[in-house]
Amino acid sequence: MYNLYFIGYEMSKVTKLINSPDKFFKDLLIKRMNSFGIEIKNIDISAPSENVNKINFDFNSLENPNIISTIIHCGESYSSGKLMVEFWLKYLNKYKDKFVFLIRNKELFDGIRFKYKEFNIVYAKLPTDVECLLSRLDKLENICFISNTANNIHLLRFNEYKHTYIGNFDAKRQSSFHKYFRVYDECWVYSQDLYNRIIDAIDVRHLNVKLINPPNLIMKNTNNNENIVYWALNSEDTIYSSFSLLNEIFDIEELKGKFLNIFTSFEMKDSVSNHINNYRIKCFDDLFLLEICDLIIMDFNYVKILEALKCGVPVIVYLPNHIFEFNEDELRVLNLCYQFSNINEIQSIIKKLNDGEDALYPERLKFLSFSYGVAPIESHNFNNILHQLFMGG
Amino acid sequence: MSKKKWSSDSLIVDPIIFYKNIYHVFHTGESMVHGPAHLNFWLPYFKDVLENTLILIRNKDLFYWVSEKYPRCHVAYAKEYLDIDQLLPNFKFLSHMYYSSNTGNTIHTLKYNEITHVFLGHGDSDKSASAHKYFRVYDEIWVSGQAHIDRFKNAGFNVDLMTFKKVGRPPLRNILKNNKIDWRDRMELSVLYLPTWEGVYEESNYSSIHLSSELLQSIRALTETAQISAKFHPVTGSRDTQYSTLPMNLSQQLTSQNIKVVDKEVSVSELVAKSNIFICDISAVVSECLAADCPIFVYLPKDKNIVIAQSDISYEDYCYTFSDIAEFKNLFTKVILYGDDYLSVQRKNAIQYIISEFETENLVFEQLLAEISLNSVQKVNLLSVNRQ
Repeated sequence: MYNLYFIGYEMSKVTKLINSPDKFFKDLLIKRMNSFGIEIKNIDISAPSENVNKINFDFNSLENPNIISTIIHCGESYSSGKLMVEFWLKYLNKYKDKFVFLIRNKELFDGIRFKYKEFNIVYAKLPTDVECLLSRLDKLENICFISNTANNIHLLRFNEYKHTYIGNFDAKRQSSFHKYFRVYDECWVYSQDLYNRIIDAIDVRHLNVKLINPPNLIMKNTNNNENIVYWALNSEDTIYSSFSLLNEIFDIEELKGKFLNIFTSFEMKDSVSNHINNYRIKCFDDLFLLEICDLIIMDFNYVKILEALKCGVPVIVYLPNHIFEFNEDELRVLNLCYQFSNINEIQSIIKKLNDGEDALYPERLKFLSFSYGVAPIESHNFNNILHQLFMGG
Repeated sequence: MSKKKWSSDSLIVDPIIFYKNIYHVFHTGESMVHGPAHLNFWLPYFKDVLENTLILIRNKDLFYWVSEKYPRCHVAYAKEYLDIDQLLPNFKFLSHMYYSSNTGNTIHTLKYNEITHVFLGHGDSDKSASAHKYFRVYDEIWVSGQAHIDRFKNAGFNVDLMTFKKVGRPPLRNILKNNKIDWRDRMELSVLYLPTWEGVYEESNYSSIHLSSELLQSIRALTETAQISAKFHPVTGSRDTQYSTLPMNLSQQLTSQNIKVVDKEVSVSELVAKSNIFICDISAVVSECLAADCPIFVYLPKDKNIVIAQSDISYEDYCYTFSDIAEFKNLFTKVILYGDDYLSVQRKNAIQYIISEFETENLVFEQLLAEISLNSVQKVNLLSVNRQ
């Protein structure tokens, strides 16, 4: 069975047609359906179920194995692994010929292989299947791990490769730092805070801990403030709502000619849209809006303000002149935001920002850099690190 | 504590152990395939600290096996990482955790930063599994002798910051005691063939089982009087199923030639003590045979690129190595039949280098366990004084 499979993935289409017509037509059917946008999962193109259960590896998507320098290993299940894999693939298109994504869970593999068919994505279940894959990759230098899973051990035993923990960006699964990290040669951490934590937690010994800026967190330093977002929070999520001031805010002279949009939750979208009916301002629940904005105006909510700050732009928070006691963390975050209690104040703040006076920029950068690894584009090292990994140097 | 449920599908533990001061945990992530051998290898030498030791098992069948075989031990079964997280925090004075092999589920216990994680292994050899990067995860590697340390140094990665401790090989203590008499004078010729299995990976397949029938019959052809026994590795044929019935078939085939295939459950140490000529593959049994200080013939396959973890001496330095039957017959004739045991001096040096005769005979392993217990007792006492 092993030999047949290997021959299968290496042979040309003509030899595949001659030697394995059933496989040739099956692959052809898959490609056709993909090109028409038909969802594969609804059509039974699989082999009989008793054979499917016996499949322990699938290297069919592997093209040009002789130029692949890196394996990225995901030992997770479908539920926890899908987001992690998709996140990484988003940033790896430029290097797609240089790496192979090794998936250890069949359901996860089936869930992403057709969606990302331009990438080398393979499946190997058993240690011996992993060994088979490695034997095909003559130029392999690096093995990268996106999480700590029990099956990492099947690759970590190979001395000749560099083992790097590159992690994932799933904030809910942020790993605590423990001695297991010492199995790697290198560990990527995504903020100074995390860097300090790993150094404090374990005797790192041989482990090279590298501080990397997360690819999605870039500090913006633009003066034009073209894209303005008002983040409309649910009244239950905030102490004071600026919602009643919304019409006046949009009338501010300093915002004329800008692109004004509202970001809100799916549930609030209709009510917000009705409220601003006369202004032709669009309301979105897509996080992409936050990624491209230059300035955020919002009400107070500790967690949401943190999210807003991570967009790397100035944040203006509505705080009326009432006495309210904030805790230490809340105050720290508020001190990184501009605050307004009436229209005149926000007008003055926006005017200064339009003039290039972003007085809170240094403090904001310091905090975001330490806590989340945010960096200005000119010193952001993510792309350079990826280049070093895949292209050497 | 008693309100918690300590028996479920994935966690079984007698709550009485929470009233004991547990300082040591012996972890095995193995199943019934390798687990019994690993436990038999080490548990007898924990006898002085047994009251303060927990045997942590990750496979239910193995848990029942060890509970029955070692009734005096505190044994717990914890399958998933959540079970480990429920169990381990109860042992406030837990100091050291010992591992008999590298299994995937070690990840669940290795995350406990406050515990000292010690790799014990289950006998070392020049197999590639003996020295690779994964071992860097442990705080300490307890090795039998300098040979294992040198295997790491020669493995191609930086080991300067790894901590090694030489503890000898306690299970070989009795064999070492008996090796003071020359092997020729100990008994009539008694040949023991100990092939390894085909390995988890093809890369580490060092086995001579494909030659076993021919090899055993060639010995009989050379000597009519010698006792000849063979013991196959307990998991022979578990990866490559064509060999699963080989021991049984050979037993039937060779009985007429007075060649005995011993049951796989019989311990190697017991057989080594009754033999004075050994034939092995690259595996930990070589060092076990070495302790007996008798001629050892080792099969080194030439038809494949074998990856091994090389110490500063090679098998050729203290064993008679062969790659095919003809080569074996020539060597056997010269060394055994003509009595030219030309590697005897190097073999004696290898005993100290690989097994650490001194550390083994002087109970260094047991002393280390006792020291850890003593330090832990002092911590317990200190805490109780502070409370008062």
